[in-house]
Amino acid sequence: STNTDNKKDQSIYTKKRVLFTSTRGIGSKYRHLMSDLISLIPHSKKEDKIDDRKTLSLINETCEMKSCNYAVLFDVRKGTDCFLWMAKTPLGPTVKFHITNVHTLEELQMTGNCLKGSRPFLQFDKSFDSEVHLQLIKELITQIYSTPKGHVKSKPFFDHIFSFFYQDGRIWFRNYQITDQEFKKESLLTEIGPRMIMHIDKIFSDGFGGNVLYSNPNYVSPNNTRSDHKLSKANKYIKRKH
Amino acid sequence: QQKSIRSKYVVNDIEAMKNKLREFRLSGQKTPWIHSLTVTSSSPLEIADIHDDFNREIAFYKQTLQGVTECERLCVQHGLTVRRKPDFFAEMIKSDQQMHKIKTNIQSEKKRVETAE
Repeated sequence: STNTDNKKDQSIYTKKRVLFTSTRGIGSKYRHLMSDLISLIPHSKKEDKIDDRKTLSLINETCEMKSCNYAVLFDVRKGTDCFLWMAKTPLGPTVKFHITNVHTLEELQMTGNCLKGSRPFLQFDKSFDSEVHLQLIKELITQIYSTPKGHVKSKPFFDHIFSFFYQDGRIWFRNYQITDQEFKKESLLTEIGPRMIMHIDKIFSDGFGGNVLYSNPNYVSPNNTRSDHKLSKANKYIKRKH
Repeated sequence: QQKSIRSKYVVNDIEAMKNKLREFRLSGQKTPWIHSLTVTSSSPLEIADIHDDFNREIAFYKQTLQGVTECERLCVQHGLTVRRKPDFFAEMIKSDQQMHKIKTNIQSEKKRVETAE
């Protein structure tokens, strides 16, 4: 009986599926990023595009239908601004990021490679432990990105690592291949990709809804960045004129 | 001025986030290491200039390497095989064509540098 109890205890970790979806008009770059992550995460499930951005909470129901307990949404606006939503569905929390500086696996500069289905190691910088909202984000990322032992689509070897850094008020993501070096004890890391910077916007209590638990005071929306840029350009012109 | 308008909606509900964190941790605690494979660096990374690409990437590399060493130590401790057996063939993330393109790109880059010298 202890054996079955043990099995039951483990299922909470092993029965994990992450739904990946996007809004319409995602564009090729972010579509590549999404398919990169899907291929790197063995416990992922791709779902059709979302039609209506106003009813994102419906994703909770889609998750239930597809027996997923997490969701990642690529919400691209104006064809350029990509918002990445990560959620534990349906009870939350949900974190909304604005992502920039994206490089996908298509790019030739990143020369690393890894097995399809190998479980990633996850590495976080210590600074994630410094504040409560970062602790929450770290826990959510860990639950979404880590592949449990014994997952059907996973391979029993380790050849890559996802690294998360908190620097300059933003989260930096890297993925490296791990290989042995001849005559050296130290492993060699080669970047596989993708790369991205995640700007924290908000944390919500539930799956794609609920109360705002955190709103980043230093977050500037891409719309505001654009208008500030335009304004400074206009001011330059006005200054020159007078 | 602009900034103050934007930060009107600043929320940082620490108590609610602490409760949420407790609530959504699987079975109320940290995931066993064999299922999460997650490590945290022993000290926070300090980067003098985040816009200095070269030194930033070196710092990222070094911290990640420490993470790899720690993960591999924990693998051994938990009885997990680390490296793939040489006779184990499986599909890779990047296709042979993509890897060929990457190789060709490196070689042509090398040639370009050599001819420039």
